[in-house]
Amino acid sequence: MHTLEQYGLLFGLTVGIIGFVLSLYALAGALGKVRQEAGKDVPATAGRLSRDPVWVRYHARYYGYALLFLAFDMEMAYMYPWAVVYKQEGLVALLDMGVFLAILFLGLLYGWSQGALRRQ
Amino acid sequence: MISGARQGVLSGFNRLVAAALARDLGVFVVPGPDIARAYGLDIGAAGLHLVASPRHASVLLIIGDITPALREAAAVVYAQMMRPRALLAVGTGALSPLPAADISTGISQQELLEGVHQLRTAFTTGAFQPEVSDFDAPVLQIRIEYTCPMHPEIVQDEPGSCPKCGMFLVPREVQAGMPRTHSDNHADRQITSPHTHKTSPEMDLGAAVEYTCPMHPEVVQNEPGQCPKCGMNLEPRKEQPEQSAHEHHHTDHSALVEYTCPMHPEVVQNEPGQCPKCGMNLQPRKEQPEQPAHEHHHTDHNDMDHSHMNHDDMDFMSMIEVTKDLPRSGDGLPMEWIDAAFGPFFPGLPGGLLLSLTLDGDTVAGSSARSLAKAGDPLAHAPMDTAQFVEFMSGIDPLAPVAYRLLACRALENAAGVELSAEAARARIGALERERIASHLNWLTLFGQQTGFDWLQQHAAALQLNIRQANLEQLVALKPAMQSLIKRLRHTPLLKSRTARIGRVMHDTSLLGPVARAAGINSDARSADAAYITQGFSPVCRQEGDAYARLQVRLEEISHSLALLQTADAIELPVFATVRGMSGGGEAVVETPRGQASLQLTLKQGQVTAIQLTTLSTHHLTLIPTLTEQLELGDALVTVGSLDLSPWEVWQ
Amino acid sequence: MITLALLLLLTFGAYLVAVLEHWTTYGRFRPTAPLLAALALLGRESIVPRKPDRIFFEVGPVLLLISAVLAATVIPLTPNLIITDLATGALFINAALVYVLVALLMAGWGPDGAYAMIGGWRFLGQLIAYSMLIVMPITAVAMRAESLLMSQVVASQTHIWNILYQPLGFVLFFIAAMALAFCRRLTCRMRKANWPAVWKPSMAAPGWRCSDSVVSR
Repeated sequence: MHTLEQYGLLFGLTVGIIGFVLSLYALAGALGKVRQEAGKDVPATAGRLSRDPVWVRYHARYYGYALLFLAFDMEMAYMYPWAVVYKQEGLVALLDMGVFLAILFLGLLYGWSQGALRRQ
Repeated sequence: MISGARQGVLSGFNRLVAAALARDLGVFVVPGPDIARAYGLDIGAAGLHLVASPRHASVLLIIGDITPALREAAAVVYAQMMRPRALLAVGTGALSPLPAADISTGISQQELLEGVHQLRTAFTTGAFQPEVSDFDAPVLQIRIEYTCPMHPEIVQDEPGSCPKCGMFLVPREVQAGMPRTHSDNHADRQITSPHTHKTSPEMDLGAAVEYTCPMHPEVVQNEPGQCPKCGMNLEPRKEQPEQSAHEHHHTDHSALVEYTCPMHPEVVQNEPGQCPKCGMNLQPRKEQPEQPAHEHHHTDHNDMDHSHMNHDDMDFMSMIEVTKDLPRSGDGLPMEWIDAAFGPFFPGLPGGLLLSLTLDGDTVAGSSARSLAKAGDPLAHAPMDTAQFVEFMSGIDPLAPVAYRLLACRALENAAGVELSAEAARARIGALERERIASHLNWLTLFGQQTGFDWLQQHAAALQLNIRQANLEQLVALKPAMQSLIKRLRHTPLLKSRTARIGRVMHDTSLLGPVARAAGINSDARSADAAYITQGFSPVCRQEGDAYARLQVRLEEISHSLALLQTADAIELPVFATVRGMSGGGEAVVETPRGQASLQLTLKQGQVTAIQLTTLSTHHLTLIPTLTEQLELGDALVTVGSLDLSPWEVWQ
Repeated sequence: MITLALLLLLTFGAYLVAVLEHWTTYGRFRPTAPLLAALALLGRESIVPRKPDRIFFEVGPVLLLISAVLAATVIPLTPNLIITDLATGALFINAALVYVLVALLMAGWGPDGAYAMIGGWRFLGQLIAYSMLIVMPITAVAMRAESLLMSQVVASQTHIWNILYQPLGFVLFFIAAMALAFCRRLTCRMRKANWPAVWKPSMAAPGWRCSDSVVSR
């Protein structure tokens, strides 16, 4: 139950921060009203109004890198419990994880050689 | 009182906030901080801090006379500033469509300081007011027009259906007053129709030709016309059943036909109609597995061989088909593009330059640049006498006033046939070189802002303000600081890898100035000048022609100018001693900090009647689309900055 | 008592970082600058861009602040003072980092403006680049401590500090943490152009990040 209390505390902290932010907003709002004027709510682009919608399929050029990061992040998730028991398991643990890492690492090297890490 | 006060009551806590606001004034400078520095105004010393975006600014600072186009852009910026906001005008004339300036001063640091002081008081007392009025301007108005998502060239003013494909038109905001059909340029930006109806003019129409609707193959006529069901133009169809004008399934009506929407394959009906989701006319879908070709292969169909065109009942639109006509990026992915304007007040670019980029992700897919700082024909003027003419010329470009003044004086002296003494010539050179150093330092400040080196930005700005009107002793005293700046910049890690190999200019003999000299073109108007030759002048030249080379050329020019100044005896602004009743023509050439400018003038009875001025920024502007093609956004901005354009010397 | 002193010290540290940042950006040392800026931010209007993705726009900055604070709660400040000594403390920091990525992307998407969108995606690219560099040293530290409990991590360093035992990890982690805290300047240049003055958490987050990176080691 100790863990549950901790998570409860974290949740309470989250709610507290949200409350803090909302109270800041309320304070700012209490200082004066907001005038809705022409052009004020259009996103600013240094002198021209930016009206065209930009919710389009954005060509993120680093997608190769992002995919590899995702693979390694999943690997990280597996490494956390392994890291905790590593000392006690000894060499066997190293070899086990080593195989996993080596496979992923080979994938990374392949991607690197094929230009996946470059700006697409 | 300030014109852009926030609506509220000034009491209690609000007073404290207003006092804080008065002390934390963020300022957005129009046309740009480079102009402010060129006029010798130190914004930081006045107690304001520069912000990059109108959203964080409380004060809009307008410097000098600005054109109507820039005033409209400034009005847009003002409208986007958060209240409480104020307008501080320094040396400006008319300001509409902006509201009247809250504080108006002349162009000098002292007056700016007083103006800021008054502004502080105005904020403390007037930041909150119970009654405020909205700010409006014609440039901010919007108009809704309706366009088809698949055919961007179809634009209407009220809702309806697209005449080509029948889809519901979607609303889109446009700036009122802008022409309607600018979407033609971006026809490839939206998702084009997966079944673009390219007609087949090269078909052999020897046989009797029937006309059929691409979407409704059951409609068949003997002469061209409109399809009665969807209004599309009928297309010719040959008698042979293999021929099809486009990739729509050439239906054999003996089979059972279902109708489906190309964009929503889950919508299936037994009779033609509209898709309930998007409004498109439904298309027939055959039951037989054998489907004729897609439209872009139609010219190969003369000897029909269906087998290799069999797409296995492909009655849904695969992504490849849907995105067939979209422009593809370098890696083959078709994504949608964004149009963004970088300017006219973008931090890091020269103020007044409107750079419109079409971005594919964050790569530049297309760009266009123009200057908003000059309107009409700036050289058209009533005949003026020589003194007025010299003043007029020195006011043409606030970024290089001394160079243009020298140009005017030289042209007039050439017309009058006057020769200057060597000392006077050297004193003028001193002024020109001093301005060259100041201009390059100003450019270095912009460069520092673009590349994110705050120390460069601050040091270069401080040096530039000190050098601008320094006399010889002060210059000598400032020399070590400048040299240490250059040295530090040269040894900055990663700067070379960041700026090398981008923005490489083609070897083009019409280039001028440091841009040309960095590309190996050894052109410098100073090489032909007697006063320079006696000092052993030789132009700085590099071969690579990229942004790094341009940076190096400018740094070396600063060092050279410092050396030239050391041998000068005095620094004097060029003046022209008026000669009465001159007539004739004169011409002169001066190497401004950006490159060579040449002037030809005609005089009649002591009045300047006609001038012809050739500057380089107009030509360099046209380089921008080729230079920024397929560059990453940061690189593209650095490239545009490295050209060191002056929007004030661009004639439309 | 110690708690209070520590909290005050942290707050003072964050304030000091803000003052120093103002100094490097504007070249002027004004100790009251952050306080004035905070009050001024309150005084300015804050608007919502038209046609925003309302949820993303509102949640983005708040989520950033929340993830920053939550990650700070698992860090032990003294041997007895840790807000929540989660059994998976080290992993929790990793999770909070990922939420920072999400929050920043939300903030870029929300306003439906060109600068925000571009800036958001570019910033995300930077974060992805540095997150592996942050995550791996945390794992290395957990290996030494044989536990994900942050208090255990600190306890395992009784004989030799991790800075000396795993110097490479420290250097890499430090570089990555500094980069994350301060790379805003290069990539956020454009994004600033699009946020109305709702950006209050921005002052808290970088200050925290510095203290976190130092304390973690």
